[in-house]
Amino acid sequence: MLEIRDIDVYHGDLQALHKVSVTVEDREIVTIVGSNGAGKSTLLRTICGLLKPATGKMEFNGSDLVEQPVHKIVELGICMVPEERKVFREMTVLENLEMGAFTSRARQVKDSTMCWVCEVFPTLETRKSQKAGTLSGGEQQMLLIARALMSQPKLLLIDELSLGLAPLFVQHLFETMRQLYESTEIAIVLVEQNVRAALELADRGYVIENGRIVAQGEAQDLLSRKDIKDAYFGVASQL
Amino acid sequence: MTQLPQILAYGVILGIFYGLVTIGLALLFGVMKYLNIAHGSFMMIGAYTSYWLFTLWHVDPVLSIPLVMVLMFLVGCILYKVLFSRLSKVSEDRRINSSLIMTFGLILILDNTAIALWTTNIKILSTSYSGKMFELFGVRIPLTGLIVVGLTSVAILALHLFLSRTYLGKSIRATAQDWEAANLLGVNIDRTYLICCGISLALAGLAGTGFAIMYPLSPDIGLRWVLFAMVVLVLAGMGNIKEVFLAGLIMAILEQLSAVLIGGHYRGIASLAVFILILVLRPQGLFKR
Repeated sequence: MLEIRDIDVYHGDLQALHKVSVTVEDREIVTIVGSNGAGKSTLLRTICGLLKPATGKMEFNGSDLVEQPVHKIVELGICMVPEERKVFREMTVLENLEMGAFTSRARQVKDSTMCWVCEVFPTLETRKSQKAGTLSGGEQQMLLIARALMSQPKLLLIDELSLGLAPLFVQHLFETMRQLYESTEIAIVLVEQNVRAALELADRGYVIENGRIVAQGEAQDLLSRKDIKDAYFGVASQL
Repeated sequence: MTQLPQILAYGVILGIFYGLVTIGLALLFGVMKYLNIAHGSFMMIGAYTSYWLFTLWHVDPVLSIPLVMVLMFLVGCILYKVLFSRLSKVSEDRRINSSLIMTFGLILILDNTAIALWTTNIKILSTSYSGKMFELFGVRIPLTGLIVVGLTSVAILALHLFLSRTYLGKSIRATAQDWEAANLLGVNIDRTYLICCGISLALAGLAGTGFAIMYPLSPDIGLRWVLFAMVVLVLAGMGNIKEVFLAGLIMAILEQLSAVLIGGHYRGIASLAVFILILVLRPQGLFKR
């Protein structure tokens, strides 16, 4: 579905990604893990078109991504939930969801998508007429995912799902991701600092360090590797 | 104070007109973060367009509105394509400076072209209803003022319905709040900015026709009235759109009251004094963002 080959991405003169290659197949959850500043967000921003690679190839279901503007990439079926909580604060929850279905493809099936999204996130249903800016952090994160789902994505990119949220709530969100994975055809790319939780959810994973892929493979295999445990799981994993 | 109802009546009419003059400017700034100080000059062009349509071809100014607005919409699109699109790469917080410089140059071009074409002699658009007054509850109201209030009400209603009920309108509001988030949902930001610019200038054109109905015309009205619009914009809170009408009302009523208390000559000073007071006491404007 998504094929990224040997891309180099720069922030001005600083090289953020070095010859990064990632693939995502239909109906799988892929996670990209690494510490702060490793290049995970840069990778997602490049996939959805906010950044352009200097070299390399990016293809989605046969269509080239490198030359496309952001809004065209969304129409192809890629939707990103960025790291910053970017709800439309002055618009109601309902209006935010409606904006999610902005592309013509999504607008046609807006009403049925809205019903489904409200089943997945019942809290949003009760807050439909509230201004999005008045929601709690966790509720805003739910709204962001729901809004992205309204665009009928084939590939969902989520940057730091768990950041700044209460642990119980993060568990709830991860379970929702699993439900989505099981009940739909959406492929999900999850960027996470919470390496263990991400690898427990995903099918496959990539580990990024300093803009380079240093490990990749089945999530279960990555979980049991000693070098990854040492680098990312902390003292508790030694016990 | 038996004059109070009369003062309020004039204040309301003027205040609503202040709102109409400002709304296009507020829309452009609210959505794109460009400060178009040539907005008054575009209003002046709309005013002269209505004037010439009436003088040469006897088109009643009210009937000329659709044509003026469509023309100004197109001018707005061209303006965006030729000039304003260069600024969209600039980050939002730096756009004010760049747009100020750019549109200041526009004022010089537009105002001086108008002087060259139409001279500085004052022109008056005299229709069958100019100068007619009528009485409502003991208050004398100019018919032209009532017509402009009517036109403005229709325009506000149309704008409100557009922004709240149509997908294009919602995408404009979304872009104003967070353009990157809107972009990531499939909104073509360039096209949204283009349409916004067109609407902003179309509203300036409508304000121009309203101006021509009520006041005498000369090429300097643009510069004078954009200053009023700036005060109303700051009063409403920069970035707010609907609140400009309330802000316009407050400013106009304050002006009318001070004209009675201090004297008509000092009317201009009243609005500038209010401006300075707001900047000192509550720079974010009267209404929350």
